[in-house]
Amino acid sequence: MAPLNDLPNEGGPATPARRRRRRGQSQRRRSRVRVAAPAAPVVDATVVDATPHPAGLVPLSEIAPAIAAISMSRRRFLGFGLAVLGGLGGAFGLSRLFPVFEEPESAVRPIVPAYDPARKAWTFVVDTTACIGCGLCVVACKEENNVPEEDLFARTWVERHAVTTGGARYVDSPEGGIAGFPPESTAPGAAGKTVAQAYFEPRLCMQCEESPCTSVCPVGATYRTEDGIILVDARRCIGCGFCVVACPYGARYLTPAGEHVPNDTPGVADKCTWCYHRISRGSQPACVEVCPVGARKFGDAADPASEIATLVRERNPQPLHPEYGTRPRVLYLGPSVQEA
Amino acid sequence: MKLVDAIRRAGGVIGRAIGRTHSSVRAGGRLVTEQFWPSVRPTTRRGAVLGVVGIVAGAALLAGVFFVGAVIAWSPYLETTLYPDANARAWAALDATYATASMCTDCHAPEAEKATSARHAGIGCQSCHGALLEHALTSSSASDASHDAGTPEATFALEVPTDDICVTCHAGTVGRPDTVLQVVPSEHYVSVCLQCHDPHTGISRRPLVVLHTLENLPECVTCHGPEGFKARNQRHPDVADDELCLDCHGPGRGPEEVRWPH
Amino acid sequence: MIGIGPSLTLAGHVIPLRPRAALAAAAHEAVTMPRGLQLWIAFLLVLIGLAVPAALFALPPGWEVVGTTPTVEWGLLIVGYVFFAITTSGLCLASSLGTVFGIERFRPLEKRHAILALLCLTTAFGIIALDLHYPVRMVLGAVLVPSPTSPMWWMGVFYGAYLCVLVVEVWSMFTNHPTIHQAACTTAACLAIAAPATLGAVFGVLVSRPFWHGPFTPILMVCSAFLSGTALLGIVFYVVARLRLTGAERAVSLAIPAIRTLLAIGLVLVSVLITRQLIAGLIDDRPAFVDATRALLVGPLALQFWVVRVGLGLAVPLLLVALPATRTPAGTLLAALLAIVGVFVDRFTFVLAGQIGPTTVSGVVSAPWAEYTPTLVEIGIIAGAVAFVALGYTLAERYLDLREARAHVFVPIPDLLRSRVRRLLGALQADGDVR
Repeated sequence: MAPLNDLPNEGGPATPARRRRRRGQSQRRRSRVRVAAPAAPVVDATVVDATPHPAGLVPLSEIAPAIAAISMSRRRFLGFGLAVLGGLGGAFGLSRLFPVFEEPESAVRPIVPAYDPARKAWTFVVDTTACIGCGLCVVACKEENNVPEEDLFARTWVERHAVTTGGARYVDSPEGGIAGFPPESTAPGAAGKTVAQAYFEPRLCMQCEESPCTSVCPVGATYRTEDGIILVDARRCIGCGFCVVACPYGARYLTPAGEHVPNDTPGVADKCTWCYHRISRGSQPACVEVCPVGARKFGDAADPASEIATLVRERNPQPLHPEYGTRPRVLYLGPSVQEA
Repeated sequence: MKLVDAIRRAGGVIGRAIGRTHSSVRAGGRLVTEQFWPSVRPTTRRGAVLGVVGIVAGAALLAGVFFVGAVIAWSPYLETTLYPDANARAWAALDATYATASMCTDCHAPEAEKATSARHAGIGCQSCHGALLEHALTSSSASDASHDAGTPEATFALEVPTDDICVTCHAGTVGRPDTVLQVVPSEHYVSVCLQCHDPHTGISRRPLVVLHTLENLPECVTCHGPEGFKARNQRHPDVADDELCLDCHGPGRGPEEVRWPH
Repeated sequence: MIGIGPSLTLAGHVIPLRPRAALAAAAHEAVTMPRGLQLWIAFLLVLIGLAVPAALFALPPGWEVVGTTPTVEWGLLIVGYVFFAITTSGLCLASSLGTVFGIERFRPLEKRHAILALLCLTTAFGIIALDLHYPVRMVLGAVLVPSPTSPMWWMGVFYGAYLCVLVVEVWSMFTNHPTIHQAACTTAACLAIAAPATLGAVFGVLVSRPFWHGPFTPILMVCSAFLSGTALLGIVFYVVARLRLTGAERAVSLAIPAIRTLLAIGLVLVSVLITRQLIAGLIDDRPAFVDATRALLVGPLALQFWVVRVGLGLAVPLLLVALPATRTPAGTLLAALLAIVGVFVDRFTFVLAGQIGPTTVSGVVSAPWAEYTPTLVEIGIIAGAVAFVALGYTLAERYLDLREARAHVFVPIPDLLRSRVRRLLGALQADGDVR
């Protein structure tokens, strides 16, 4: 680049011949019009003045005469640069004195200070032989987590599976089971059929160990915590619905418009969190709390003395649909996992 | 041999590089003190003052820009990078609506006692009464535990659930296991569950069976209605039809006949 | 010309740059253009005008206007995005035979495919921006929190790169930089295989949807891309030939027969892949897969599938390009039109079949099909998108120079690399000798 304090030159070493030529030519302006290529757009000649420069170097002074009018010495330029650096350094020092990126305080500490997520192995066991299909768990979940009211949106729901004498299986879940179940199955085609075996199957997020939802999120907004719960960062979720489609158990949905804490954001992915705000404070999820028959059990399987660990050891509950390879953390007892 | 040569050559290269760096640093230092500083040093008092003011103002301006930018960019991406568990903590800090089972027994010991002793044992209070955390917190903060729940001071009474809640579990439905007693509500004795059943134990109070004859007597409500002299023993809402009275109080009805001296 | 101030001259049309003069010139142009062109542009503008309020309704926070539900979360807008994205790739695949491999028969496709590809990809991004609930977060999040396990992330990367390469391609085409153009075309051709394959992987990695799951979905996407890109070129070149636009002679003599060949190949490939999918669906032991295939063959999607996709979209075009009687430009046009509609309906049935079948409650189960009906807003947006591409292309055809470039640069990349490596080795050798 041409040194700023020299006269515009035409590039190349300043040999005596070039110096002579430069002295003669620098006063005249050439107005050679550029020849346009056949397929290129032709620009009107009054817009751009096309003065040729052999090496293609157009001095700054020709493009912006105003800048060239300021003759700046090298030292002054260095001084300017040092002042800028000093300003930046001052800003840096000030930011160290008044830190901007603080650890978030106030209301984002779990109530139980001694909660160590890394030590927990939360496990959920559902006993479908005990479930009576009352739907109190669905009511409690909607109340506790402010889930949208329409029955399409359910963090947990209950299904009734009815197997007829002919071997056909009918599944119905009227409004997710929130108002209980009518005496007969409402599945299409089930009316009038004799039922050989029927049971209720409560469903919720499985918090899978190899969850498809966390691996397909394009922005990494859904993730698995240290204690094994899968959560969604509502501030980063873009609402593409990939995780909703990817869940083999249908546990997710995109929140509709309206106010729904805790996300408080419509249009983002949401799902059952096993009442993370309760379990981190030593309580149980709301659905486990209200189940009248103890069909839902929850606990820390890492604690060998806990009820859940004993249950898992003794009755060997199994996950639903292990063929998906997702390794769910919700285990089932009863006919839903006894069948092939 | 070749290895030693290579090491020697590498050592030479590094040594030359260090030497060049050292000499250029010293040259740079000389450049600053001998040429740069004299050229930018203010020569007048006004220049000195302006220089200091300029540097301080520039630093303040840049800090301000930095701060505003940080506030704007204080976005979930930055937060996630700096504090990976911030979002999990936000989820953990939400408010609960349901209490835990043990919170109720402080004030409601009799009911809790009943509920743990009979068929409804093991059912939490909130299964029927709904979310109780707010009730528990307001009632425990406004009064101390010595206040009995039945005293007039207790103004945190909740709506008593209706009989629909009983039917939710006890209606006969395909798929419901026999662990819960099931009825067909329209065919059960009386349509109102709580007329006979204690909600906390589930046990039905046995309806008193009429043993006096009905001949030469007016309608039941003449004596047993709100105007009659037996009104104080009356537990039912008004029933207009004697047929309905005899549904429960007729001989042979109800879980057990009781010989009640009349 | 002198007196209207600075102006731009494109393909013989002078476009003034000062606002008032530009408006006057535009008005003059609108009044003097041929009748048919006026009607066509008016029609397209009406469609776009209907689509604009639809798009505004679909912006945040108005997502309730689309028909998606938690059971069918991907609807017509996703189908539209997939369609336009794969058409873009298909255009480059079809014309890469001319630009990258230098086959003379496919040369006339060169310039037009680049403009169409750029328009289609821009439209695709516009549709997905309307479907995503927080599109700005997508850009920020994909860059700041890369998610290499997510095929959607890779799709964003590839299609983003594709957009940049397309811009370079179009720019270098009109500013006479043949070497850059050649490099851009080659890169675009590679991306034109990678990007729709990744788009197919978005569907293909999901174990939860056995109908989509598997390695054949990316292959089906690439072949569908090829088919729709070729079909779009077929439509365009018929118009070129009929209206005697730039390059009409070569269009009739070279482009249309070439497109007919490519159409035939595409139709055969797609037919084979769809047949494979149907057979696999019927004999599979995963109940969800069987249910979804049933939905397609005899269930709610049967009408769209058999009548439109298979009948009108595959069988009739195959006949049209095979029978000697219909091997005419008009026959190619009809085949191309039907084929491209068939591809759109194919994407629609594909996306829906994967979602409306019951998943975890499938088996010998009668759980009802999930329901999805596209709303007017969604239909309006898709119609507007098609009109936008048509309008953009019409203006490009009228105001840009679409003559085939006379100079074609063939850059022998292996030779270049070899010579460079040899020079480098020689230099290293020389260094070693000195020491």
